Amino acid sequence: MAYSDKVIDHYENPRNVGSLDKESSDVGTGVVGAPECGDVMKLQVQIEEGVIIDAKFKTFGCGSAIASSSLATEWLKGKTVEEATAIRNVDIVEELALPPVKIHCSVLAEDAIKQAISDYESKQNND
Amino acid sequence: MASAFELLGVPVTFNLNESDINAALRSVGLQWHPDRFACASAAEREHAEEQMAEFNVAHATLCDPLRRAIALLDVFSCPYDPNGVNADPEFLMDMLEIKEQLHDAKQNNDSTVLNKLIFDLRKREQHELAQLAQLFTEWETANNRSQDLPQLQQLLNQLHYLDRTIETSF
Repeated sequence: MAYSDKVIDHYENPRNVGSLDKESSDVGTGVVGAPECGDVMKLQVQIEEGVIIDAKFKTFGCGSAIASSSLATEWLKGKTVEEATAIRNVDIVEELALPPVKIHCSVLAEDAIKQAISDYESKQNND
Repeated sequence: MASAFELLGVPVTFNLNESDINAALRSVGLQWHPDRFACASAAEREHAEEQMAEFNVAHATLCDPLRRAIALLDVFSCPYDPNGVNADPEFLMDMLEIKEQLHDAKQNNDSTVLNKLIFDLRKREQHELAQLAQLFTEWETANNRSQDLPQLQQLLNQLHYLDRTIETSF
């Protein structure tokens, strides 16, 4: 199986690797994984007035999982919360030209986005 | 299709020991070993070989605790769906941290740290396997199996992460 140029580019030069302060009230954290391959993905967003001003990720897994989360953070920056939740795994599959056996990596990224935003929202509701 | 337990004629339980599983394979092997069919017709020989192959797969399934657990859940019509379980976020965060430490230790060629991490992972795996065995003992005889199923699947899910993490840490 050959990785697309875009996957290789994200794998070799991942964007936005790192962490945001998990305890901060304007940061939402999502952590998801795939038990069969043991991949784990953490995706965080920092939100100000409904807009994502920063996004970071940390993924331990295959090239596609790294590329999916790297691309997701790139897309998330500058988006409103509403636009972010509209991101679908198929968008990632298309952009990265992921082969069928790697589609679950894009699903992980979509799940991580949703979890991060719902974590942020539950923090806001608790305030 | 017959389950691995049925094929080898061992009790349908998670708590099997390896020597019993080996003895079961030897006993069916005595009957079906291809050497016994050296003078038989080609069709009979082929059948014996197919049987032996199935027994070997069943043996490998039963010897691996995670595969044995999944086979057992199948027998009880509670198939394990790895994606149907929502892993505990704290556990995943913990795995992420361990993976990061493993990654750093490999980058720094620090075999002392690496070995310690793998040692701890193995210890944790053993601990969770013992927990799994205990859970299965209760679950197999429970009246209401669906009640404790989520807990069992959760543990099985965590064990898969541990197993994969150990395997990819070298």
